[in-house]
Parts: sequence; structure tokens; C-alpha cells
Amino acid sequence: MKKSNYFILSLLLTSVLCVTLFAYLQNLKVSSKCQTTIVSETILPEVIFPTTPEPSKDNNIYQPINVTLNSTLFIGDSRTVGLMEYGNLPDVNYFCDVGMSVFNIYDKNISVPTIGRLTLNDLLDNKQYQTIYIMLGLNEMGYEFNSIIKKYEELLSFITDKEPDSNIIILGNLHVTDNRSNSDKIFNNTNIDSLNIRLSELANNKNIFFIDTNYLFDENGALAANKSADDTHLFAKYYEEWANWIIEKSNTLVKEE
Amino acid sequence: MVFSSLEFILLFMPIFFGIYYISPKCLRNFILLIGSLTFYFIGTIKNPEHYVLFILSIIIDFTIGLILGNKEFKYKKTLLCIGVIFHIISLSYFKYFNFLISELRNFINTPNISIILPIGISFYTFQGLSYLIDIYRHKIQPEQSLLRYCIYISMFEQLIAGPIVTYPQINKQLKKRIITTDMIKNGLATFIFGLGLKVLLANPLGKLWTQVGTIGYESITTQLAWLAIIAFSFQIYFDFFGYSLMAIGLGKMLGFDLPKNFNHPYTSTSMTDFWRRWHITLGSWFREYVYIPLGGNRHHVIRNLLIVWLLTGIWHGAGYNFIIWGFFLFTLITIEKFIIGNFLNNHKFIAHIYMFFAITISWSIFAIDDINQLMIFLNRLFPFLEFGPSPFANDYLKYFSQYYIFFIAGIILSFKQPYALLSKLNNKFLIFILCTAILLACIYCMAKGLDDPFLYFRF
Repeated sequence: MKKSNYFILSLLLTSVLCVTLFAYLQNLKVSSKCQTTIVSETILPEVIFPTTPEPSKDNNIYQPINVTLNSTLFIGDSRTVGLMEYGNLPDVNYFCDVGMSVFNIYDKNISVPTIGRLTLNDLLDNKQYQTIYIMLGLNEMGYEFNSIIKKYEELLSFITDKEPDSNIIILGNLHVTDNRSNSDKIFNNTNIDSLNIRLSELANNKNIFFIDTNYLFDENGALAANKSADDTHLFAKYYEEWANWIIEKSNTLVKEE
Repeated sequence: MVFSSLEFILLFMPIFFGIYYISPKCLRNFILLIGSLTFYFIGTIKNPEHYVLFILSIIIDFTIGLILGNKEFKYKKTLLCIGVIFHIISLSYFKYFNFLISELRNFINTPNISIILPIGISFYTFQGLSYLIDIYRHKIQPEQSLLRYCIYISMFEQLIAGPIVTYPQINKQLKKRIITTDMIKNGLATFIFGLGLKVLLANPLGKLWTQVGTIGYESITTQLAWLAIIAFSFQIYFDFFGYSLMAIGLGKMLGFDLPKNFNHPYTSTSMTDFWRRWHITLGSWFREYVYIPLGGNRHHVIRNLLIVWLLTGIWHGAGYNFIIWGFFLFTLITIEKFIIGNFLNNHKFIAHIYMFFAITISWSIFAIDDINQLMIFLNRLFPFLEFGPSPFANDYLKYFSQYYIFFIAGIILSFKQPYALLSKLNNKFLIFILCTAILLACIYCMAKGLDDPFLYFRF
């Protein structure tokens, strides 16, 4: 064999040696990271949302919410777009768009079916709603939670000013599947749960309520893998069931006077 | 690291080509080897064992090649078999292990192990195999320089997605190649054009296909199902064609003349014709190293066709759908060969309609790996088979209004005329403006994350 071949052979073998060494060092790093993760997992709080009080027959301080579909508005991101298209609630109004967040909601000029293209401000000036649902939060992931909550509070106060008689129902963000949750540093269920807890604290059970929407499609604390193709959005066939469940659940909510 | 990434375009390319061009000619092969190994190492950084396998495969093939070239060596057939079996086992293990384990899980309790496919293994395995077989057949002399052999296998521009180059095609250029300024400019323009096809056309259309998958095939209208599969057909073509153009362009910049991989396949008038125009280097490989050795058109034609098309199917992936896809192609090609081939040749209009359905159905089988979902999708394409209306009746209008511009571009760029026009462009300033605009648009999309159809940057 030629001398130059020995040189190239030794180069190839050296590169293999370097790669193996690199892999070994990487493994060392990963195993030390894993230990840290296990420690942090054990101290994670359980997800417990504040509960709405039970209605009492003895006194009349609690009033049930009755959702009238033609006086209902859904505000939200792509998941609300899914509800609009496949939820089969034709009488409801939707102000929703892919990518909508509490940070850009006021700038959005959206085509609302049967009403026309307008901003949230114009829509709320245009019609008084009895029930307004808000399902935002996923596009906001990655921002600092305090700034998200501050913007959420601003939105709630904006809606309350425009629609003082409305019941505002915050819908908790739907989980992602385990597959995504385990591989995504931002869009994972730990973060979604933490945000949902903060959102649930915004409810006063007088005119602002919170519903945890993860009841229907969850499997061990994550969106069931067979209900989503992209680990994030529900298959369209589940939206109708989800929409009906949201309305039914809302009708069980009670208002503190 | 893929070609359509900011790291490759803004970091790897300038650094590598900068060093490559300023180096003396005698060092260029060495620089190319270092660049290619670095490229592969970055690609396999999370799975370094893939890098080890790659180097092992190069050393084994080179050694076997040298021994096969020795006229006095008696056990050439045995040695060739060892080389071929090594490649088949390593390819099969990495490509089909997950599939086999998941199938076995239906019968016995198997461990939950998942293996990641090494980058480029399907391509470098075929290049290594063709090299050994060509030496055994006395078609070529074994390469005496390990450096040149390494480059033949590892050249970064064709390593991860082809074209599948055979040794005789670049043998002379490995030893001596001339690089002119015109070749560099031409190569760069070809690279940018390929990048544009991938980033600006294939990826947005891929996003439509992904969105339809997210909705679920049960809930889409027939019109949207057709839009989706046409989008996928364009996506897979412009993605792969774009990538091949990028490889050819980079090859030119390095001084290599890589073979063409696509020749306007969507203008074909039969499936046989289609596969002479689609992934040409793979088709040639199977013809040269499987079909002809089996007997070709001389005897057992149907058996030979069946073997080749089933192998083509499983080469593309592990799953029942790839076997069905291979069988579907075999069926069409056999029917064309013995029954309708002449008719299609004489009735071009009908042939194009036939190909429209043949291509879209074949891509449906290719794209949907769950057989139940595939049946649902086919039922959506052909609603007279089953199924009621979709809950969102105007879904296709929504998506068509968002994507129609990409469909128009896809249709135009499927014909050969636009490329003929482009190749006639002599105005250097105009070419410069066009390339700069495409490159900037691609960089913008990549920086914004708009290029990845699977990336959800917005919900």
C-alpha cells in the first residue's frame, strides 16, 4: 500500500478516536444533566386548579351560568380556529386567528363569519355578548410568565370595560402529547400546566371563570397521542365533542354574587 | 446539517470554499476530505457511532476493492459476497430494525428500543456496492489511493441525498479537475436555484400537506384531499429536485460533473417513462446491478420486475406502505410493458390523464404509512367509495386561497420550457439580480423558520 494511504488511514482512525472521545464526553454531560432533571422533577407541584364553589339550594348567593349560543364569543388561536371550523356551533361568533396571542390581539383585523372583517375593539363595540371564552397562551410560551399574565389582565379588563355584563370564561391551554412535551424545552406540559395555574388564578368566579380543558383528551397528563397528528392540535373530528363539552361544562359553573 | 440551513450557507460554504480555492491544487482533495468528514461529523454529532460505521464502511470497501483487483487472488466471489453482505446487513439493520421490532411487538414482548437511521447510509451503501461489483466485473480498476476513494464516497455535496454516483462517472475528476470562474458562477447559480425550489416552493407546499394531516383525513372534503395530494406531489418533487440541483451546483463549484437526477418527470406519459425521469441515478443503479444481472428483459421478466420494484419500495423506507407502493409501481409498469404501452405512446392526452391519477395515487401510498389512514384518504379522493360530507364544506377554498400561488409555480416549473428559458439567459446582471433575490428570500425564510413545514412557530 502507498505511503499516502497510511497517512489517510491514520487520519481516518484519528477522526474516529476523536469522535468516540467526543461521544464519551457528551454522555458524561448528559448523565449529569439527567440527575439534575430527576431532582427537579421530584419537587414539581401537582396541578390543582382553584375549584368553583358548589351551588347551594339554601341560599341564593350562587347563580348558575347559562350559555346562550347566539350570544357567545370565542377568542383564541389556532385551536379556536379548529373549534370554529369543526366544532359545529354555527350560532357562536369567533374572533380567532393562527398565531394570535395576548400581545398581538388588538392589532388583528380578522374576518368574523356573518359580521365582517374588524378588530376586537370594533367587534365588542358592535355586539354585547353574554359569554366570552378566551383560549390564549400557547403562542405566548417562551415569554416571561409575569408579562403574559399582565397582558392577560389587561385583556380581561379591556373586555370587561366593553362588555360589563358578560361572563368571561378562560379556557386553560390544551396539553401537547408526551412525544412533544419530552422533546420541547418551551412547548411542554410542565410549562403549559404552570401557565394554566397562573391563568386559573385570574378567575374571580363573579364574572371571570376558568375551565381546565384537558379533561377530555388527556392520557396520563398529556394529550393522547392517537388524537393528534402533530402532537399539538386535535384531529378535526374531536372538535365537535370538545365544543359540546365546553358548553356543558360552562353550564355547570356558578356565579358568586 | 442540510444544504438549506443557515449554518451551511453562511458558515460552512464560505469557510470551506474559501480554504478550497486558496489551496494549491495538489491539496484540494485533502481539503475536500477534511470538509466532507467535518460535514458528516456535524450531521452525526448526536449519534457518533454512525460516523464510526461510515469510516468502517469506507475502509472495508477500499480494502476489498484492492484485493479483488489482485489477479492472483482466487476467492473473489467469496470476498465480493462478504462485502455485499456487510452492506446489506448494515443497511437492513438500521433501516428496518424499528419496523421489525414494532411488528414483533404484536406477538411477543419486545424491548422498547428505537434506532436512528445514519445519515446518507442508503446512498453511500449503494455507491460502495457498485464500486465492489464493478471491480469484480473487471469494469474498473480498483482505486489505489485511499484519499481518492474516501472522496468518491464522502464528498459532502452528494453524501446525504445523492445523486448516486458510480465510480466510473467521476474517476477522472478525482485525479484531475479543472475549475474555472465560469464553473464556479454556474455552480453557485445552480445551487441557489435548487435552494429556491426547496425553500420557497417545496416547503410551503409541504406545510399544506402537514396541515391536512393535522386536520385528519376523516374531516376533509374531496377537493381538499386532491389539493393536499397535489401539494405533496409537488413538495416531494421540488424538495428532491432542488436538493439534487444543489448537489450538482456544489459539485460544479468543486470541479465535479455530477449526473442529472431528474428530467421533468411530471410530463411523463407512462409510469415506465416516469421512472426514467425520476431519481434517474437510483433507477440506473437498480437496472445495472439488479435487473440486468437477474436476466433483464431476456428471461423471467415479470419476476425481475417484481424484485426490482419491491426493492425500490423498501429502499425508500420501512413499512407496509412502501411494499404496497413498490407493488403498485410493479403492477402499472408490467401492464404498460405488456398491454397498454403502445396505446399510451399514441394517445398522449389520455396518457397524461392516466399519469395524473397514477402519480397522485402512488404518492398517497408513499406518504401515508398507516394503512387504515391510507384507506380513509383514498376514500376521500374517490368519495363514491364511501364517506359522508366534511363538517367544514369550504375547507378547500380556505387553503386554495392561501396556496394557489405555489400551485401555479409548481405547475409552471414542472415543464421543461422555463428551464430552457433560464439557461438561455445571457445577461449576467439579470442572473446576478435573480440569484441574489432568491438567496435573500431563502435566507429570510430560513431565519424566520418559515422553511420548515414541520416546525410550528405559531399555533
